[in-house]
This record gives sequence, structure tokens and C-alpha cells, in this order.
Amino acid sequence: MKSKILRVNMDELTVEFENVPEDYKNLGGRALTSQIVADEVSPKAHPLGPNNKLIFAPGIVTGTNSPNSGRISAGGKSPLTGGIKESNAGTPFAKTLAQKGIKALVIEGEPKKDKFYILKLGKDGEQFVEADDYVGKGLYKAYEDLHEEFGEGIEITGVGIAAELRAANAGISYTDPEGMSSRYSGRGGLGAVMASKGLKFIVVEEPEENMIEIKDKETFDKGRKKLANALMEHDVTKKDGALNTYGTSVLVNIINESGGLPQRNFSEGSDDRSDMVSGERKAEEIKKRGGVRPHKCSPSCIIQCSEIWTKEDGSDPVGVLEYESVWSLGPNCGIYDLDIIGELNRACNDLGLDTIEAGNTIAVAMEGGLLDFGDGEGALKLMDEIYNKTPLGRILANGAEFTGRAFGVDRVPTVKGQSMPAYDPRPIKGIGVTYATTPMGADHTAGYAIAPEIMGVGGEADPFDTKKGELSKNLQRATAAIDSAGYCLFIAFAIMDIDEGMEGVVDTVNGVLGTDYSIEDVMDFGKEGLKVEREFNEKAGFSKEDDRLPEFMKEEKLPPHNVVFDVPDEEIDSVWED
Amino acid sequence: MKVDVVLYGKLRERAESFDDTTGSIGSVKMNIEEESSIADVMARLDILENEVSHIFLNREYSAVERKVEDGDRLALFPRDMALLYKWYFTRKK
Repeated sequence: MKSKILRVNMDELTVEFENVPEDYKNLGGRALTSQIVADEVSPKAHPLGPNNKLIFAPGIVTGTNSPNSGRISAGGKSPLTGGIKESNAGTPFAKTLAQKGIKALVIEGEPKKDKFYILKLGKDGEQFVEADDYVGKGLYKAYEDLHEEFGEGIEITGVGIAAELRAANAGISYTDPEGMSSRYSGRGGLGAVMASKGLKFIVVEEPEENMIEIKDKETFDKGRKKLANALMEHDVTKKDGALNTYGTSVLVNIINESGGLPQRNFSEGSDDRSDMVSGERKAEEIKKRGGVRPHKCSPSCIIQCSEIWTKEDGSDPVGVLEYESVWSLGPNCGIYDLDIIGELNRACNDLGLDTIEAGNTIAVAMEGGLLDFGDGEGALKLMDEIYNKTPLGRILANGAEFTGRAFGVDRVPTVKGQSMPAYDPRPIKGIGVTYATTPMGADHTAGYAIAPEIMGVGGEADPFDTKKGELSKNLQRATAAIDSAGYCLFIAFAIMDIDEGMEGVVDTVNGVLGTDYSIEDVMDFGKEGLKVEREFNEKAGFSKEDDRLPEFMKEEKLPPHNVVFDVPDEEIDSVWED
Repeated sequence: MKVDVVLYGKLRERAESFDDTTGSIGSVKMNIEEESSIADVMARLDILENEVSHIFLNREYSAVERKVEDGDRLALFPRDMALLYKWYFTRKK
């Protein structure tokens, strides 16, 4: 195997290439980051201390020309949840790292001096460069300056001002195809872990030689074509389909209509004003302004759900405004203005904050009386507090739960310290079981996937039915498998409905690894990976009592359906039965 | 009896009173006969079943056979807005 593990020691500022151990050879992405964390990090380690580690791993197929394969996993012990974390992103950085032959990047230790460094992985070797000039700088400008300092043909990952504060909502940013800071492993505060290691940026130069090995080219090529066909055939993923036309924000009006789009800190499930920030509106505005839509987040993407949002006059590109970000910074704060949401999203990308957590934090601060729901200008001023590193800014940068405590709020929508995404679990109970049980803390992507039919689960489920353990379990296993393969989760729609697509995924994985896995084997990877994560959390002190939604969701009825979250605890716990 | 029909995306153009400058959702108030189904309402608007992805009757994910009652809200999404986690939603008949 040509690929190596690159171990970066921040005590000594040294790097070392290691051969990939036999046990890790067929792992990638999330399975690999979680396995390394489980093997090398004490579950009792302080997330910001010298004994935590930060791992980056491209997926198994990442860097190949298989469609939608440009994903990377970042992993470590989370400062936000105190448990294991894998946070996944689509970015050209993933491809470049994979083609450089780096199967995993392990960052460990912490520098003796209180200093920040840039790690350059260049064509002619690895070097550390002092990053003093970049401290306190927003990431949009920092990435421009890094391109100037290191030249073109580079991809970047880095952390911003929020991470300099070692705040629990600091994400890890990556370059988008335009070189801007708009792609994120946002969730779980891994940016603070990177900063605690004294590492500000990693700059990777395009390698001269592509180091990716495809052991069985014929099987791989067959699979790649099958997957591409399925993606281009399916209504959700094809050209001019929902994702391509409107992006993920197509869900704003749909989930609002279903009564599950949380408004004003999860106090209602629908509001007609949500249409003001819908995917349809946004697509029209982008066209008017001269932004870009559709757009790809990474080179191999053929779905192209991304976009480039700009100011009204077409200037100052932000990058994509995802459904989750639009919701958290918008309706969840009672804000129904795309320009305000765009500027809040820009501030998050610039400061290095996870948008979902940031929006929930503002909503909780609104609930706590710091400002009124709907006060967009006020919300933007809160971002300035973080830029200025004020005590209030430090509170806000630590996320919704911390802010809830600071302001005495008893309605805080978190599980294991991480706040919920854009689906209220009261009228959509299946997602609630996933929020409750995933080792990641409340996370929609953890159980938002794939072919229930293939795994013997019914293709349709009543959102109000409380029998959701089996469904969530199978979705979580399948998702873990996709996150490890290195595919974008959105392939799930196509491979769920079109058998050829699922075969394509398995063929490409087998092609790269030279294995003979079946569909069931690939799903078993997901199951095993989840077990590793769950065990880490148990050793860190979590029990099934932590697999619960906040009290208010069990007692407070959500209009318009006027339902509470009533899935029994035993049903939730069944996710972890075999 | 009366129903409110809410038309999303490209379907909004079927609403006669739709004003592009004020909204992205078309809305129609219709008088329909007793015992009408969602399919009947769609036929009145010249909307074919294969043009529609998601249907919500009173915010419940629904099938076209479902009967409509006085005062109901019926929402229709076009085919190019198909994006639901279908395993979280079943069509109420």
C-alpha cells in the first residue's frame, strides 16, 4: 500500500510517515478516525489537553474519479459533547490529501510555547511555519493571504478566532473550489482541539504524482459508472432535480409545511414567513445577483447542490447557505431575511463557527432575554462580541448549552451538549431517536441515509408512530458506512431507490481495496464503527440516560400538530440492541 | 365547501392570482363538491399526479385518494422539489 499515516507531533514540531497497520488497511473516513481515537485517546482525556488527538482521514474512495467522493472526516474527543466526534465535510482539500497518499493525519501533543503554526505539506517535504500574522484574522482574508504566501495549487484547512478562544463551538474550515473558507467539519468543536495543538492551518500542495492505488480498476470503473447512472436518473439527485435546482434549502418550505421546521427556539413547527427564506427564493435571488447556482463543493460532485451566495450587488461571496444554516440563523431566531442570514453565515465562516450551533446559541440567548426574537441586527452584533473576544463573545462561542446556563434558560434543544438541527423531533419522531442515540450528540446526518429496503426495513414510516428504534438503528449503521467510504450522504437517495447505484458503491469500494465485500459486509462496517464510538462514550462516562431528548420536548406540545416527543425510553434504547 | 390550496415552486403559476413580486408561493381558495378527494382538487387545477412530489393535507403527508373536508389546507410540491426522507414520512390515505 502506497498510502501512509502521517503523524504530526506538536510537542517537537516533527512529522513522521508510518506504514498503515494491517487493521486499518480497509478502513477510511469516519471508521478510521473513530478507530484511531478509540485506540490512541483516553476517553477520560481533557478534549483541549495534550492527551487528545485530532485525526483527519479521507474516505476509501476519496480522491478517485468516482462521483461525489470528495469527503473528509475529522475526529477526536469533542469539547462540546465530551464524547467521540466525527465531523464530515466535502471539500477539494479531501481529494488533495488523499492523492498525496495520506490515509490519515494524526495531530498530537501541544507546543511548549503558546504559539500557532502552519503545517505545510508541500511537494518537496513538510515544514512548520509560524502563524503569528494570522492570529485574530477572519478566515476569508486569511485564506486569501495564505494563497498569496504559498502560491496557487494549494488547499487549506484551518481554524479561526473562535478556536483561538478554545471555544466549544469552533469548527474546522476547509477551502471550497474558489479557495474560500466555506466548507466545514463544523460540529462538535474540533476546531478548538486543533487550536489547542497550536495548529492554525494545514496547507497541502497538489502532489505531482497521484498516490491513490486502485487495486481492481475494472470493478472500480464498472461501479463508478453504475453510481453515476443512478445519480443522474434519480429525481432528487439528477440534473435539474431538487438538490441541483434549489440546493438543500428546498427543504425549508417542505419541512415548514409538514409542521416540523422549528421556529423561535423550537416553540412552533411552522410559520408562513419561512417562505421568505426558502430555497426557491434563494435560487431566484442568486440568479438576480449574479451568484452561482448550481455549484459543486468538491471536484467529483455531479449532484451540485452547492451555490455561491453574495450581497445584493453581487459582491462579497459567502459560499453556500445550507438548509440547516438558513434555518438555525433564520426561522429558529425569528429572522426571515436572507440578507441578514447571509451575513450571519459569513460571520460563522469567517470566525470558524458551526452554523447550526451558532444559530441555536443566538436563539437560546434570545429566549434568555439578551435580545428579541427577530432582531437580525442584534444577532450580527453578537458575532462582533466573538470577533472582539469579549467575555460575552466567549460565552456565545461555547454553544447553546453553555449560553443557556449563562442566561438561565430551561428550554435548550441539545443532546449530549450538542444542539439540534432543523427538524423538530416531536412531529418527526424517527429523527428524534437518532438525535437521542447517535454517539455524536444531536445530529441529523447520523441517521439520515440510505436504503432501508435493502436492509429489510420498510421504505415508509409514519412520522407520528413511536416505533422507531429499528429504523434509526439501520439508518445510523448505513450512514456510518457511507461516511467511511468517503461518499457524500446525498447519494443515499439514489442508491436507496436504484439497485444499480448501491452495487456501484460496493463495486468502487471493492475496486479500491481489492476486496470482495457484499452489500451486507459494507453495512456491517457501519455497525462495527458505531460500536467503537459507543464504547468510547461509555468509557468517557456516558450511559443510556444520556440518550434522551430535553425535558421540555416531552412536556411542551409543538404547534401546529400539538404533539410532544413520546417515544418510550425502551424504544430509544433498542437502537443499541443487536 | 371551501379549501385552501397552497402551490409551491413551479406549480405556483397555476394560481391565477399569483403575483411574482410578493411571494414565491401560489395560493388558491376553491369551492369544491362534498366528498372530493385530493385527486379531484388537482384535476380542477389541471395538475397531473406525475407533476407532484409531496402532498400535505393539513400538514400531514398524504396520498391523492385522501378525502378533503371543508376548511382544509392542501399543499402541493412539484416534481423538482422531491426531497423528503421518505422513511420518516408515510402517505396518509
